[in-house]
Amino acid sequence: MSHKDRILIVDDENGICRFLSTVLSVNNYDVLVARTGADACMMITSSMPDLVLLDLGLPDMDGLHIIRTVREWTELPIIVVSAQTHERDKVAALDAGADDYVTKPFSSSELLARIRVSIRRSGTRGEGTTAGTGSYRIDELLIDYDKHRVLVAGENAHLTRNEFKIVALLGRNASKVLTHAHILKEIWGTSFMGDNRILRVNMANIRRKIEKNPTEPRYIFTEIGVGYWLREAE
Amino acid sequence: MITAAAGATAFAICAFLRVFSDADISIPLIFVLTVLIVSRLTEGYFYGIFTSLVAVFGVNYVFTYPYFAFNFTISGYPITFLSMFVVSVITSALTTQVKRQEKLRLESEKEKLHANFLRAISHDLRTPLTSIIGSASVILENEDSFTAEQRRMLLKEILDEAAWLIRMVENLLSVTRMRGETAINKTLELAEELIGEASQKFKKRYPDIALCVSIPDEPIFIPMDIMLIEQVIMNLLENAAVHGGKPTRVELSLAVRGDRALFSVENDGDDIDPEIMERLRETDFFFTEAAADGKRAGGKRNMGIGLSLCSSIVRAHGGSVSAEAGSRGGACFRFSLPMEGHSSNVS
Repeated sequence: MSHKDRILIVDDENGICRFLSTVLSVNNYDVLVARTGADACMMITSSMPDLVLLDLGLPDMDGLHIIRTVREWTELPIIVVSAQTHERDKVAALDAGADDYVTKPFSSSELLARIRVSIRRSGTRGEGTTAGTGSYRIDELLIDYDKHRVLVAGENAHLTRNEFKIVALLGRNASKVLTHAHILKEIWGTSFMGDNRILRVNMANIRRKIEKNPTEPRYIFTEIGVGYWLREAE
Repeated sequence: MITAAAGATAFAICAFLRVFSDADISIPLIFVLTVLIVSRLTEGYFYGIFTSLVAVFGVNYVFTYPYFAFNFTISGYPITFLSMFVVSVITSALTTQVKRQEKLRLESEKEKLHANFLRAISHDLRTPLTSIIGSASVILENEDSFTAEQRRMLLKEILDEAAWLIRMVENLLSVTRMRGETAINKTLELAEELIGEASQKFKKRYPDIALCVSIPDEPIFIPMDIMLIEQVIMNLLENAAVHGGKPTRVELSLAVRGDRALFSVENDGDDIDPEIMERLRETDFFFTEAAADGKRAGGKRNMGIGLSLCSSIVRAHGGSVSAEAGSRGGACFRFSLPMEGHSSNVS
């Protein structure tokens, strides 16, 4: 493939920028760097990167504002780079439309994996899986969108209606973290916003039906304080 | 409030004495005592002196001849009342001063504790930094003379130390968060998610140590700040993995006892020094000096800060911590969290 994916790094710290640029160019990406939010917005419009790596703590502009602005006109994948102690920022960023996040400190392999997934997902957006038809398989788990059921090793897991809706939603967004608020809104509408318990109870039930060991999940993973994600088929 | 109550009580006692005996002598003494009590219980000089004044006039008005009239001119009265006033004022001033000194002493003690804490932290930070700087500069200066294996080892050392530093910093951040006295934000969380995530992180970090998880089958909801409690579990797991010789197995378990959720982390390494255990129990896990004096505590870097953080977090949740010798050697750290009493407006 002759075409190099272009990645825009938005960060005001030299050390991080240098590290990210090195890692990404070594791995055959075309790298652009923006030090401020204003630069970032300009460069997103002018150079059309394939992915944005966005640090939320910018000097001139709230990172969330950038995400919302970009989302108004493009589905360009955005990965947020955040510090560990700001789980609320992560949730807000995901809810504002960010595709994924990496938590500082992260390893380069983790970052590269996230970038690959996000770029690939943006390429296939609007095809097959998002339409909610057909089926989706990961190892022994099969989500049958047509018949509204989930099979584990060929056996019907007997999920309730809402349980199936949750798994189906996670399946359509495989490998993407969906926040608690997002899932609640999609499944129960706005009336249950803020009621975490109903989602937790459903997740506990789903886990008992499809996972062998609830503390060692193979399919649905928990991001503590953020949300859930379903593993992607390999 | 206190002044009024004490004054009223004093008047009542004196009136009582007056009615049943002629014990005039004890009346000024009772008032001086009242002044002392008032100064002890109130802030600053004002209330003490104010009480002295009221007492002098009150005694003169009510309890001395002529009753229910002011008269300071009868012979002997000026000296009696003046000395009563002076004694009262001096008493109140002395009491207040003693109180201020007490406060200053407490403050300086707090500052000393603070300084000790900072010293402990600086020490803990300096050790890995020294190793990082050393390894990095040695690689830069002797680029060609190392074998690939040697270079890899040095780089690995840098990585490990840096990873340790970042965990230390996360702990420190949480310490400041706990000291900020901001109420922790509890939400109802599923214990299996907490334990699942913690055990996965642990397995990634320590692939050589067998982690054995046991948790009840039914879903268990516990109100907590899940990020903080995860940190408690990670700290305990990490301690279990790093300390106590070379443990091969760590157990993490959760059980429900009445209205409490009981977490325990146990390892199978060397027996924990009974002296350290005793200190842990006595201080409720707060012993920062152990961090400063890492060598004596068996090289337990970060253990002081990690454990005292665990203790503050758990207690802020209304729970308690404990430690004991493990059933197969090693040590067992437990903490419990109340399962009731969370606010219903979970976010």
